[in-house]
Amino acid sequence: MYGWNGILRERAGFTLLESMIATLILGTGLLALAGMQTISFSRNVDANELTRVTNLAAEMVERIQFNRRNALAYNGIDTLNVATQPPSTQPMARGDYAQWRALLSESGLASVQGNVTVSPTGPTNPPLNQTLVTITVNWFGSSRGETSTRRNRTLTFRTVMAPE
Amino acid sequence: MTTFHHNEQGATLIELMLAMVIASMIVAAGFTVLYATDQATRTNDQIVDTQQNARMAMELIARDVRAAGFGMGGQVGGCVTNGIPAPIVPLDNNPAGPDTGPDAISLVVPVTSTAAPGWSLANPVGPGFSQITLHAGAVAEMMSAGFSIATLPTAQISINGAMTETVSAVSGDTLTFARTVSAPASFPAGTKVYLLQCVTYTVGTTPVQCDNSAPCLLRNGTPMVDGIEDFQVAYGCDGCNVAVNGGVPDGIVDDQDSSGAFDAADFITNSTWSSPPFIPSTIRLIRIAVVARQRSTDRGISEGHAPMSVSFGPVVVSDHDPSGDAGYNATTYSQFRRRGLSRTVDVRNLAF
Repeated sequence: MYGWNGILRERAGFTLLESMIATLILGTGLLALAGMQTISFSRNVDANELTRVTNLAAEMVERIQFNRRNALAYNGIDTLNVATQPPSTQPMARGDYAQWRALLSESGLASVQGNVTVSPTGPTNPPLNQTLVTITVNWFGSSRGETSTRRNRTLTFRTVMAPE
Repeated sequence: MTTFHHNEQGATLIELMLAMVIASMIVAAGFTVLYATDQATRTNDQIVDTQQNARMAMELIARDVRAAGFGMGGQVGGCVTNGIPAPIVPLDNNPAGPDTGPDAISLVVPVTSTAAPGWSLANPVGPGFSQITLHAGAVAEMMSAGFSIATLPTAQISINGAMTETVSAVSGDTLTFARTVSAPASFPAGTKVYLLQCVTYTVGTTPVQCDNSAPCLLRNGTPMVDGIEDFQVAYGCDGCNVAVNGGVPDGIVDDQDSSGAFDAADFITNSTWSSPPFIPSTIRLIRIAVVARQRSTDRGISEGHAPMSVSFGPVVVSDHDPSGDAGYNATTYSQFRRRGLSRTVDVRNLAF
């Protein structure tokens, strides 16, 4: 009878312990799974922002491409500083600044800022009048990712233009 | 002994119940997580696809807009407006006012084969030549891509983008031109040859048009990108408005709204150009917008899995407000997530 009792007690204790361990293992696994979903969602958000910002940067490149004879008028543009808007003697550059600024602010990206620098490049003798155009867009990413903090993000677009 | 026996039995029942409770809690939690994970994975997949489709459609259209024209020397296919051959033919949904559906656009673009040796010269030509011979099989491939001197108004090919010629006769892999190309033009063997083609982008709305997955972006009627719901185009022109600079191009997009500045309103989507008819050769900047939506609705959590509402309000793009469309239903509209992209593209190859 002692033996019976002992076996039963042993078995009962083991079952409880087993299920607790099983719960622990399962719980850890499920938490990891949930974490994976969070990461994949936040990477999706990152990718979407990157696509939109790439389009915004490409927009400015295309606009400068159209007005490439006056590419240097776009130097120093900062969408957060209206004083950098090109003068009215450069109507296209001036309009491009205003429209790009509006597009950036309508994009819904947090603290979005667009900068353009244009500098002469390429051979000078004989000159080809080429310019190096750099478009930089900074914004505050909306996804938190695995570090649980939002990050400042930057996209830089660099291209060389030449009047035909 | 009796006490022991009672104790034994009691303990077993409680343990059994406890074990069952724990087990069912684990199973319930497991299934909840499984279901939530499944839903999240589906949603994630749909969003990834939607974003990818929007990007693909934008790249595809922007690429063709940049290449539009390609030195065309006359009418190419159906790219004609008001009887005038045009490298870009705007096809607005409703040229008189607000749209009730997606726009369309026709473009003259170069087509080539990427496979080696591709469509290229088999022998050097020039100076002074009136026919070219391509690598074996190239002409047959061009014909399957739509090249035909019998049905096209003018069958044009471009030699390396440098020279466009009209083909008057085809014999095997040899193309004969309508004129003799005079010296000093000459090209080495292996020079790429492009076929000029008029392509039209439209949005397909029926499963028959879209390989059972409406809506989609069609290129000459061929489904290219799934899930493209809307496509809008607006045009900035230079020298199309006689009221601006006497209708002479001056490198500045015409001020269509007389605001005194170049602004968003200078991009015209309707044919309200000040000097009719529509003059597509004056188009300089094209504003493209695409809207992609997820391909199938999310399965709801209610009985019968009725689709859930996952988005707000109609996505208004350019002069198209989907809530004004025939058959618009706010409930079904809100069951799809959408991603929109827009970009302004400079038309580089238009001048000819």
